[in-house]
Amino acid sequence: MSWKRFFRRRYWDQERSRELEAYLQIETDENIARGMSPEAARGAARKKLGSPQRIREEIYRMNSLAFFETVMQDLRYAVRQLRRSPGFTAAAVLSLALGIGANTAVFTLLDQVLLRLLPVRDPQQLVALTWEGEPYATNISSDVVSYPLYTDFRDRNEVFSGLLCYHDMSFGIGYQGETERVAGELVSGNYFGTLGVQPALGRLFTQDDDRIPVGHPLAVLAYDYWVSRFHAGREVLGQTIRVNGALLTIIGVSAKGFGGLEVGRPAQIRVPITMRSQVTPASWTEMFGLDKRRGRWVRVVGRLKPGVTSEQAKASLQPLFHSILEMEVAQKEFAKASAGTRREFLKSWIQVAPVARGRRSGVKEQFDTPLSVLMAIVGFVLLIACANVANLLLARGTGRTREIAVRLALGAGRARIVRQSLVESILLAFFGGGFGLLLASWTDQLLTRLISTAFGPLGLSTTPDLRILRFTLAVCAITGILFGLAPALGTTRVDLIPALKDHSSAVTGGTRARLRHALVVAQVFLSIILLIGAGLYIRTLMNLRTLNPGFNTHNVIALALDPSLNGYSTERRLQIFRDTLARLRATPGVESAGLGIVRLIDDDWWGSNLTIEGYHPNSSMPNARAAANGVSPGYLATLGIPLVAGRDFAASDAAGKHKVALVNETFARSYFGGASPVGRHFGFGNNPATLTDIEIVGVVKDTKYSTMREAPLEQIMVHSDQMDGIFHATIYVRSLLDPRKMFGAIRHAIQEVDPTLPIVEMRTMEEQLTLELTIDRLVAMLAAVFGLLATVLAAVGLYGVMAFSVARRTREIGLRMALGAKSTNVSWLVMKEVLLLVAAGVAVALPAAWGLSRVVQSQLYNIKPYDPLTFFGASLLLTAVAALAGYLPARRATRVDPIQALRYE
Amino acid sequence: MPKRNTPPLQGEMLQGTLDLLILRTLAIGPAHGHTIAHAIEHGSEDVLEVEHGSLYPALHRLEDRGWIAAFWGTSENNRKARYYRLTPTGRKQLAAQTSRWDELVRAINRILRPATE
Repeated sequence: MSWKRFFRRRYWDQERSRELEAYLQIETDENIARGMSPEAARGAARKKLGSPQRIREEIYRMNSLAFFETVMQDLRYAVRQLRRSPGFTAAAVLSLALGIGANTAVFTLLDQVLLRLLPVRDPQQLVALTWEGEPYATNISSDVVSYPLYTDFRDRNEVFSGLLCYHDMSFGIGYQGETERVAGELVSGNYFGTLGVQPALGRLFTQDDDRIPVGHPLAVLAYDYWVSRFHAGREVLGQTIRVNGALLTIIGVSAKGFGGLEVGRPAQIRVPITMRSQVTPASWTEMFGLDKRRGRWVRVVGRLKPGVTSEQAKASLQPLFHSILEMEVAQKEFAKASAGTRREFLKSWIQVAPVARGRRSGVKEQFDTPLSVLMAIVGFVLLIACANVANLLLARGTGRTREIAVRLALGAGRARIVRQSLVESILLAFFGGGFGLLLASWTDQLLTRLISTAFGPLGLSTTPDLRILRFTLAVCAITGILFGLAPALGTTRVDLIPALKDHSSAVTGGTRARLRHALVVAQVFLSIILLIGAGLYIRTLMNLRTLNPGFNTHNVIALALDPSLNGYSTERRLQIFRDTLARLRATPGVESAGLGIVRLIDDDWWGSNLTIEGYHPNSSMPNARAAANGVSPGYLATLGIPLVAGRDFAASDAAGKHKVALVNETFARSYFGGASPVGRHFGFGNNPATLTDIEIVGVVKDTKYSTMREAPLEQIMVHSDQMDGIFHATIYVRSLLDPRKMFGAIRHAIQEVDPTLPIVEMRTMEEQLTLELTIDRLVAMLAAVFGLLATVLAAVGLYGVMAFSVARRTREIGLRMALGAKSTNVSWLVMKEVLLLVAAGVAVALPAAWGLSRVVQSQLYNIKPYDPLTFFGASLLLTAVAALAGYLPARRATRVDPIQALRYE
Repeated sequence: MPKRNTPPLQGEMLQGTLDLLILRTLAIGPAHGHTIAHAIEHGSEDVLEVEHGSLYPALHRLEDRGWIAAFWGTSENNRKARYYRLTPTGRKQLAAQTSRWDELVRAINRILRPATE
């Protein structure tokens, strides 16, 4: 039995026919030679050989793949069967398409955010290096180290075949007179080489592009950016673009599909890290320069040498790290540090952790739980769809009892019939899967569009690739067996004689009815859980939407200005901000304007340790910390933040040496115990030498700062004109008119100040809050859609079961009515069964939901995971829908004509 | 013919046995199906009266395994016939299966006639 023979069956059959004919001729010849007549000789030869037909058949069978052949037969039969009942087929395929499509859609995103390995060479070898402990340094974010520390590790380790570093930042890309802001990265020269990423065009950076500070004015484009901004033109090579004011030459395009190490924040352009000072403002490099050990800003990722584990790497790096710490602690920056601080500093160690799936950037973390929850939800929906199709199959199996009985009576094996039904259900699943794929692709496009309006491009693909197709294929096969097996086994358990007589009592099949009831209970169970989940998310969303952010969003517009992208000096930037505010305030329709460094409710953050006059941290009182912001005069008025004590900033504060600040009520409570903080002083940082030279001049009401979900936190606001220099800021404008009508006037006013300034993220504050809740809204919306879908599917299942049950009991119902039962009695008979099934489902679902809702607790806001209202509402909704589904068959039962029913058989 | 009173063994022949007999017959030289069938019949003094047709599936199987190879030739009486010859693998198989057969016969004999041992 071989494939080669299988495909040459016809040839072999002819060959054997000729061979057998040869035998007959030779034997006939010999018989004639023995004296037989030609006819007798031929006859005797035939007798001697046996039936050539049988021999050929036997050989043909030897050449065939028996299993494959019969499966093809089953498939043809299944297609015929499905075409014969288009209604059933449509219902089943639709249920499955919804279920499988939803699963594929969510899995496509989940896979890319959580599961997929980075598209680089041997991603399992990649590890991230992070500093654990007290760094005694200024961070621009967590998980970063200083550049000199990176080069120390790069040049003096024995465990990495390559060690790269990068720094993610925004770039203003000027090309052909237009500037736009995109996500970009400064990278070490060995970045691409260590990752094993190939160029799609031109060349990528090498170690030679890392040698001379400021000596490599080059840029490499990401594939997607090359396509979207440069229309995939080959002529971009060698062209010059303006990146944050510096002129850089494009030398290449990185491989398609490579988005960097930060999943969910694909860098569009990469620049050698030695160009640091050219693309960032000078005052940044003072702190975060290539030679500064106390400014931490680069992320470090290494490729382990073959055979080295991350544990071994970690152990081998510590001695080197400690010698560096010893060297650093002796430097002049530590002159003012206390002995305790030095001790803590020296206790630091280096963590080495795998990053095969990419670094978990903020966006990625935000999607973790919602995506997992969604995956669970769509899994439930698929189970419900399976139960539904199984129910349909059972009902149809009942209709086919006679057909199956005939086939069994004619000698068909039970296994063969079961297999045939399974082929049919798997075929259904694949039809469903096919439509599901279309549905998934469409859903993903919608979802990514909704998400990227809030988060910018995520670099998520929505077209199903091989991996997704494999997933869908597996889901189809599993669902096909899942919903097909029980009905297949059930329908072949037939009592032959009565079934052939077509006696309706033959189809009662107690087990089958019980199975159908169990399926309905399971559907009710799953639907309730989904409805409760949806209810909790919807209530969370409602809570968040009605939440008062502490400022007045009405008629307020926010927009971001980043003159540092144009490479302007500190003075010029300050001047631009002052001119912009002045110009806006003079614009008709503008009531007031102000600026803030940290954009509100945008997941932005500037936190700092503080030293506060009169506040002495000890074991019971923590170190003073606050969320900080730099704001201009007019900021409070524009956002409508009420002042409760002291005064607002004034223009006159700007020039003075006297530094001023505002704090919020929570800050006053936490660090002054309710006494008025006005007139008290604080300073940034908490080492003993910190100057407390900033005076608190006013106290404002609490507002939300970074997110709507956050608990009240201590906040301080310093005067923006008194800061060392502002790079970018968010301008807030309160208009007298409909704010959307002001966008043009605002744009115009800013262009009068500087026509080259890119204006980004201009939206009303109401839109800003809506965007902030994008994920919550999406999850609530999807949970609600899927919950209702599940409920409808369950109701359809229930309807099917009850309609079938009523049809089966026509005779009994007729008899009851003939004996004087009222129509209410009869409908109660049916409704009782419906309510029993629903009650059973609800009874199991409530405790299960009570346990499950704990899992999503962190996603909820201001609502208990066992919120009684939600639990009650979900149960009520489902019971109502179920009662409706049961009412139709119940009404049909009351219309039974006793005479007809009794005559029925 | 001494054994006319005992009915010829038919259809009970073990599959492996028929294969072995075919291989043995071909060890002498190439032959076509007709010759092989008659050779087995005569060689066994008509005890093994195979239905000649049953030979062909066996030939097919052996060819499939690569133990024998086929070519078209002309028979003694000038008819086209499909000839078979032993391949080197087939020769090895013949040796291996013959010794296995001998072992089997010895073992069965040991049980049937313990006295002679």
